[in-house]
Amino acid sequence: MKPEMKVHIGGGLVLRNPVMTASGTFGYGEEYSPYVALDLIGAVIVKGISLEPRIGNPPPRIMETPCGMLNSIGLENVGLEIFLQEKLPFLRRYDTPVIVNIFGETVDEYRCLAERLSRAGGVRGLEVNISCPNVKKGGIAFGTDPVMAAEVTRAVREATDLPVIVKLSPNVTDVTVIASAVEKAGADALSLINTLRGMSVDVEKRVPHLRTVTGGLSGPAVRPIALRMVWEVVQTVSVPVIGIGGIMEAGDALQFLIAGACAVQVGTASFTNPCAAIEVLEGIEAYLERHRIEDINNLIGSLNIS
Amino acid sequence: MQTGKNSRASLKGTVSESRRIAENHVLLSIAADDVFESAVPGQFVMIRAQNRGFPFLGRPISIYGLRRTKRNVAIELLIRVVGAGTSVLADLTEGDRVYLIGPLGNGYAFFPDKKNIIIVAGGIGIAPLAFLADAYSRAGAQRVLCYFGARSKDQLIGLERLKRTCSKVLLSTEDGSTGHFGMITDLFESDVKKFDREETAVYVCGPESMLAKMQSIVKKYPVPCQVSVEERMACGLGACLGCAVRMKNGGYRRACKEGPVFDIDDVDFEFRG
Repeated sequence: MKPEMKVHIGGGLVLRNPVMTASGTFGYGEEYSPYVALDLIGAVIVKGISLEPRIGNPPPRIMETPCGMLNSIGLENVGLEIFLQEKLPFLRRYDTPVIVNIFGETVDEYRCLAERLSRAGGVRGLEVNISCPNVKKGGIAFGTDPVMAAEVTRAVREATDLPVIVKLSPNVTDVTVIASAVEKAGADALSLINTLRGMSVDVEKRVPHLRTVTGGLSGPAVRPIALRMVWEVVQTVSVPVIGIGGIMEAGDALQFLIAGACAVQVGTASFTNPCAAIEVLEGIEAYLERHRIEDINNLIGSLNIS
Repeated sequence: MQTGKNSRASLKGTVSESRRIAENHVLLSIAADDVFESAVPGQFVMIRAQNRGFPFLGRPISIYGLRRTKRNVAIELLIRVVGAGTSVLADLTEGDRVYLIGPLGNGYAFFPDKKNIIIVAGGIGIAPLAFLADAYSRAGAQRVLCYFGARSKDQLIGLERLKRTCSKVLLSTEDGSTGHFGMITDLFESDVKKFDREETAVYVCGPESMLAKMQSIVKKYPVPCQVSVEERMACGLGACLGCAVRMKNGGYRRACKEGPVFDIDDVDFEFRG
């Protein structure tokens, strides 16, 4: 018998399985459709959307690093209008929940995005990005200050009936402080981690590898840090926690689930293998069958610390 | 709606041959899925060695050639070792498995009826252009002129093939070991006035400085010119937005999706430089 894979990720949102694609690593879904059966994925989280289109940062924007990569895309995106007109209709054709990652430079922009997206059909949840390290205004400025993080969360909470997931930054001393603040402000779920700030230098030319000097580190290099932070947050809050960070295969995802994450997001892995999310999903199912676990919810949070 | 994974594309290939053809240059032949049969010159693949922890990301490599074999399609990739990632690709041997995504990006616009087809290549930039010359030769183009420059004689890769597919091959080297002593753009610039604007299509690929030079030449002597650019990429699918190319209008285009072929007038090389 196939194991039960259904998970609740907060705000009444139920996913048919716990594997999502992380924002910024899966485009608007369409880019991956030749390679991935989109209707098998738990949920698609689209590239961060801002009210107005954003041109992004000057190149070079990426650099490979040991077991990962640095990026400084700068939240390049088509903006809300084009997203609603040109990108969302494609995703509506699939029976897969669409979660929209939203980004603003002011609290008001977050509020406005939440209102508009709530009225658009076919959006099942919002992920509030308060953790992008690559933009000057907004983003991480909100995500590193508990008061600001709560203010953004409250504004979005008031503007929408959709489930509100807040995506947290690891670039803080104590992630549980922000997590608690955001939970109190009305978040239905928390997702973590966004990228870690990093840097790389071309020693021949003595220039930074990225035009913006620093960028965000992702990939398996960050996984142990992500796992530790997820575990800490799970013990602090009572809302569902979604694990993100260097998940390449099922075993990685299982670590997050066992540590207490109710779901996971596959990110950078999709760059190196477009089918990564599906392979993670299949691997989790195989694991449950092998261990005779009938319901994935019996696995979540089952970490045994003696 | 998709019904299964990989329904329209295979993601695997096997190295059928690896040949060191010059210092730091390896010609890889990959047995690939039929989907690659549709590849056109200017397109590229994302390739990554299987069963190795490094490199983490695939590398975008132009398609150098394509052969239909009895069982599948053999794609040829010309690898120049520039760093640790390309070094791993160059060390692959027959039978090694690779992850292979493609064909990706837009190919060159093709004008088989134009009188002058002109390719201008610098170093490893010959890879997509040699494939283009194959296509023009097969289409029966009247005249294909090849301008090919490199640092030295031994870096001028695949001359015999070019001599078969092109009407004329003009060479230059920076060390004077063969052909014109200097830059290939010098030779092109001295000939460009002879080409009728309506009857000519120019294609260029090579190092950044050469592309900038070509842009200024065709600005002075207008002829239609397409350029294929190189950028670091993570996915090759249009999702990571890592391969942004700055355009003259101030915006960015993705090398993997809107490119890698652009009208040379549109790209902002000064910004890139």
